[in-house]
Amino acid sequence: MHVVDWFIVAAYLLWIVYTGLKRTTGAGAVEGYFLANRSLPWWAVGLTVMATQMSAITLVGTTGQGYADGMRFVQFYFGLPIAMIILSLTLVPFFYHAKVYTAYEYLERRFDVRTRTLASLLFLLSRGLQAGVIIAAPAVILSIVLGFNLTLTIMAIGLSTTVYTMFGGVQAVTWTDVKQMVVIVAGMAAVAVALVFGLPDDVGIGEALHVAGATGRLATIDFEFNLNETYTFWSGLIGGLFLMLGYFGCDQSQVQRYLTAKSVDAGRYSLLMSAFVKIPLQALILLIGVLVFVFYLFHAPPMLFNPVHEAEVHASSRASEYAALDTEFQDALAARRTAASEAVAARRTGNAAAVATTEAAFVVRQQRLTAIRGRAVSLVKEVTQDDSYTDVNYVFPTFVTTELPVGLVGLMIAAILAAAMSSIAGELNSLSTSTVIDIYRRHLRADGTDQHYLRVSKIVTGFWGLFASIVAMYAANLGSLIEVVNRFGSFFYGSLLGVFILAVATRRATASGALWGLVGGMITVTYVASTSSISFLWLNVVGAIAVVVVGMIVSLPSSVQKPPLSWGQPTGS
Amino acid sequence: MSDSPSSVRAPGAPTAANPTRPITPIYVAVLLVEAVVLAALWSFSRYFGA
Repeated sequence: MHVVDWFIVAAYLLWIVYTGLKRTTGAGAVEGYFLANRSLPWWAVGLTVMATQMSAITLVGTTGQGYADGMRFVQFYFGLPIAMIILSLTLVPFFYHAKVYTAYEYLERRFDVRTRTLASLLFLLSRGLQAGVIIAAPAVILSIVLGFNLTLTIMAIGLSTTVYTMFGGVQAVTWTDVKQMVVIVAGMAAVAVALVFGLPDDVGIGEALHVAGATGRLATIDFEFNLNETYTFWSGLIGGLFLMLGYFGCDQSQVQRYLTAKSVDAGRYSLLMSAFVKIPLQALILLIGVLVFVFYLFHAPPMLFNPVHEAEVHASSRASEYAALDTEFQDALAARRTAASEAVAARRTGNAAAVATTEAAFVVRQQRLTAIRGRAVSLVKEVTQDDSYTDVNYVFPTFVTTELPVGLVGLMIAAILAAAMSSIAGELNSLSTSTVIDIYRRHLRADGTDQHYLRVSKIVTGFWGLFASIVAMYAANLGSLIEVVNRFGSFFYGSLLGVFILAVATRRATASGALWGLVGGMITVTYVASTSSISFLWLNVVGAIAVVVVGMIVSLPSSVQKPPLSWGQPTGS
Repeated sequence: MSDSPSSVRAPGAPTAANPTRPITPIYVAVLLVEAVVLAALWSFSRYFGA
């Protein structure tokens, strides 16, 4: 990396840490430290909601997904706007008026301390490990692509974020998130422009997109109803709706964002900002991935995007096999480039028959290239004994570091770090809040002073930062652990959502109903996940429904006939 | 908390003293924008993918 890029990355890190440490207004008391005294404007909260959701692996993985598979991943987010409306009508005003610090504190007010504690422990376990994964994923990629030292990269991401989150609290988290979102959007916009200008002079962007479209990469909506398929309209709309309801409504890392808003309406607007922006933003990030694919139609990509694994194969007894594949790949690459140029030229003539013929020929060349790459991936899997190997997450960082001009490389590395740090800061802040409010103050010491809890809160934030960094060092070497941790989230979001549905949608649910409903929901999800191949998005639906059904059955004996709650209208006191 | 159905409504539920202001036009706008975005994505896909 050029010295200018190093300077930009270093300046970014210093700027963010300085901003975080400077933004400590109100952090002298617990409510200020965790909730900014419920004073933040909706637009800042809205940006921090988006920044917390967008981790580095979202940025890097989504562009890689666009490159390899196209834009159909965008369907994953189709349920989000509807989820935001439902939450704005239900949980946001309930949480806000109940004056809670955590979503789980609300469960004790409605049910009992057992439900609160179980939900809180599930959150702490899941998010504590996930914070490590969020640090590890970009650290591994950056250390491999740029040759950085892995431990130092983990420290740079994990500990710098911990420092400002620990001292500045939620004010630091929010205002650094705002700046980090600006860095992310600016970086992605600059890359989009660089990609368009990187096309050959005789290839227009429209013509290039038609060539990409011939491979199916621009297919965005699939109306097939298939429970085993994650990326369809229905999976995104229904499964995604439940996932987003669970994530934004029951996960403290998001709930805490909108609890800092200065009014109920400000909290609602902050969520609705995502409702307006999220799908177009994700489509744009995926389109950038497709543009990277288009760019590599006219420039030579590597056969594999992970240089470390490639080097391992080179050093193995099967190096000659790999070299032969590489030669075959280069020939196929040249043939694909010619076919792509012919398809562009045909489209320019406006001759429909020629367009159809040349695009069909291009698709055949692309399939040949994909098959060779597939054989190379299989070879790497056999040599490295890593069955989960995929280099999709390395596509975008490789493009950034090898094809972008000096300055833009630094900006994009800063954007990847920004995506990682903004998510980690939100996680650490919420982990600390739940630990102190739901566990320490509730079970260990209820009579402490505000200053005592504040001191403990800072120590606990530091602890979670250190814990996440240590987990990251182990997770970096355990690919399967990352998958386990990510799957764990989908096991528990739907079930937790079910408990909140019981809490606010019916008066009949009892504390025991909620507790056993939660346990029953998680058992049901585990059973369904292990005995069927349905997409993980649908597990959220299964979990929520199972909790409500079990919860209502357990509640039946002591149930009293009462009308359900009215959502929007005052119900009287 | 007792292990019986909540004798009052859920904590934080809207009350006469603590009403929630409907922002229906914004919800409608969210749904309209989503419909327009989905239509745009579908058209984009049809135009370049055909």
